[in-house]
Amino acid sequence: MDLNLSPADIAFRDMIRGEIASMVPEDIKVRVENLQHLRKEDFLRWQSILDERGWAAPAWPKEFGGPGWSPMQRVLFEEACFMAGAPRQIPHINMIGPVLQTFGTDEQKRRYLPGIPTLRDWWCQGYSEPGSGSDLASLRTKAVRDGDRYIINGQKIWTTWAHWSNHMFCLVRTSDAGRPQEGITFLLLEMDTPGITVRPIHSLDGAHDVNEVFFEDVAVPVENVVLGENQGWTVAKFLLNAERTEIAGLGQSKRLLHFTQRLAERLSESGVSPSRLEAFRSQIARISIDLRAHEWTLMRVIAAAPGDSNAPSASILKLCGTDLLERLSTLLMDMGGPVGLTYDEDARNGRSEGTPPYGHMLNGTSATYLEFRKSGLVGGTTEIQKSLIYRESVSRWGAQ
Amino acid sequence: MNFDLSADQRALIDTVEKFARSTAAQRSVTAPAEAATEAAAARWEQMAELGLAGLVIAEDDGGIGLGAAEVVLVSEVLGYSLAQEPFVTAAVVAPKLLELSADNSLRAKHLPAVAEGGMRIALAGDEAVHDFDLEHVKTRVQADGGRLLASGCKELVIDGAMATHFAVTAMDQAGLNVFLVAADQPRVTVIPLRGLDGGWMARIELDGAEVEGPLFDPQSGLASLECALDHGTVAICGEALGLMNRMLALTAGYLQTRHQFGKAIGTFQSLQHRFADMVTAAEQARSGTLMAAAALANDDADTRKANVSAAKSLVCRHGRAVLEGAIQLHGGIGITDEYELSRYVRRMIEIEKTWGDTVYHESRFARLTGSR
Repeated sequence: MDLNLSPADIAFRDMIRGEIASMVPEDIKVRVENLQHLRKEDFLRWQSILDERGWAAPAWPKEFGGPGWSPMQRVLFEEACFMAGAPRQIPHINMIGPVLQTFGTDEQKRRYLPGIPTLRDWWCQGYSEPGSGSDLASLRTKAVRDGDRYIINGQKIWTTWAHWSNHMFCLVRTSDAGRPQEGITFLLLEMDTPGITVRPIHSLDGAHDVNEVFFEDVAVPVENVVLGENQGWTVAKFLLNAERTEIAGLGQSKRLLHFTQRLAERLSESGVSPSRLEAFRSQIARISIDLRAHEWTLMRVIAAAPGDSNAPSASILKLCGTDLLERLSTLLMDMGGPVGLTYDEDARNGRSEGTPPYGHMLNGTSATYLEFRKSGLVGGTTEIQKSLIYRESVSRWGAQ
Repeated sequence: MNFDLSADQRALIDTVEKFARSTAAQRSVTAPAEAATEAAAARWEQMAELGLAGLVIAEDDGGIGLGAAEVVLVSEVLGYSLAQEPFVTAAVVAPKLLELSADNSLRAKHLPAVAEGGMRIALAGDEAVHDFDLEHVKTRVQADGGRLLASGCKELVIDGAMATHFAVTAMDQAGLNVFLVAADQPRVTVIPLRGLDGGWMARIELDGAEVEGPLFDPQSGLASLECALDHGTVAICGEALGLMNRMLALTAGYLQTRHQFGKAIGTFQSLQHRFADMVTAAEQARSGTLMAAAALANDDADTRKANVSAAKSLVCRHGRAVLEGAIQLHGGIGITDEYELSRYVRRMIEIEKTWGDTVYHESRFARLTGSR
């Protein structure tokens, strides 16, 4: 056991902090730090800046054009991005990228990988369906083989950024035989294929991130299957594992914590009563402590070899990350006080250029609370995670 | 950074585990003070033979010179078997005080005796019984001819009943400092106090007792004391991890073997989720403790203190979550003193009340990090 960062990691941390700090455009940084939603153009601009340095796909190995960083280096990179006010990483880069690198055919790699880091090709994830949420394996969007193509009918829902995407990776049902998991296929498709309709869903905070996607006799060539027909569940499980560090939500939590600290300063300057401030500050202290522990849990997870039963489970990372985001966003709304009565949702969501009546910083206090009600639902609900933790841990503890 | 055990660390753990298992049954929670402390002293002799008394003491001073990671590992094993006393006080806090001492002759004179286990030093710092204020000290040291004499009363001295010496905080003309006091002198009265977990601590009355010291330069007395206590605090956090692991193991076993409504109670989702909360709490406490162990090496005192306070508050808060979950999931047996769980619950609460609880450490953390 060695509890200190290696000299090489310390050198990398210092380098990456300095570099990233000098790379983030000022206007993007201001929007990020005010918790405004970014526009598609903001993400495109930031990814192309990163791409110039070869850092646009931090989880990719060198042979596919990535930086070839270790998990620890990726965490240090993410921390540097947070400190500099950079946009959060686009999750799909680290999801579909590793999937294609591991399971894709040479043709799929050649065709799809180059457009991913720059976001020239923007991918969305077609997993959830109206009838299949936590029980994903029950999904019913059907792909029927017809010569050298599949004909797809069905519906996906909660599809993040489907309206910004030109590609989708999705799970479809190709067989009803055997266990539900055994009839699922992982499929790539282009969003402009005839028969696809995208309809917006506005979240509680008025933002448009997620969508419904309808498929009506959508024809997809069979060479768009990844790994093989009815092998989709294997790919889906691999993908879940690949996003282990991202489900921790560390950067987002640090961003919200930093925001509450700035807000506390502002409340203090505005003459908010000491007892009210004290109530908030003691919560900030407790959350800061929990965030530090969470960061160490993340390091314990990424430092562990695959399958090491002594490492904390990834479900614990998700659970603690969710808990922090929920508490931070709740605290932020509480600290906002009466100013949270007003909300200029177009200004927060990048749909207008106007300035909200009390400024961008205060505009999102209640809205952030509403936004982060999603954190206990995405990527496996809190209750699903707890059941997983029980299953993984009870035999380990019971065996002693 | 890596969290795997080295071969040496694995061997150390195996040795301590073997000792702790073989002697666990010898610890009586009903024995009177004298018999209990004699037995504990005999066990400490055995632990010293294994090298535990000199674990962190430099090889030049007669120890084996290991670091904070090993302290946490050893404490955890001792916690798992409730075999802790007096490791944290005699083998972590006391050596750190001597190591930090400005008086090299005291260090050279006493560290080897501490390392071989014959000298058991307990920290006698507390005078207040309602808070954890290290500076609340009325005990005074005054010169009398060529000697220095201390007078005052020290409360809740952990492992005090079995100590051969006390590291006493006291005021001299220059301010707060720490002095060494031999227990076996007529002007020292040791009044054993029964601990919540059945062990023995003590109240110490000093009435012109002869002291050695001071250990520190006048301006660094408090800072050195805080540093030594931070090392001790990380060690009891490690012990708490062992307690939590044992409570998880007992609970997991119970969930799988206790049947109600015709099936194992571990098949009920509400109970599964409560257990998942306990596991999650224990993992966060572990992460915090490892973070603090790493921070002990930090040259910046405020960074060290903030991380130690974070860890201790996590351990107190999550330790309580684990013990409450363990009691609830055990049902009636969970509130039965005769059942093993009781000892772990009681020791966990003792740890909460040793060297700062959640309120104390969250507020120290807030002060140090500017959240307040």
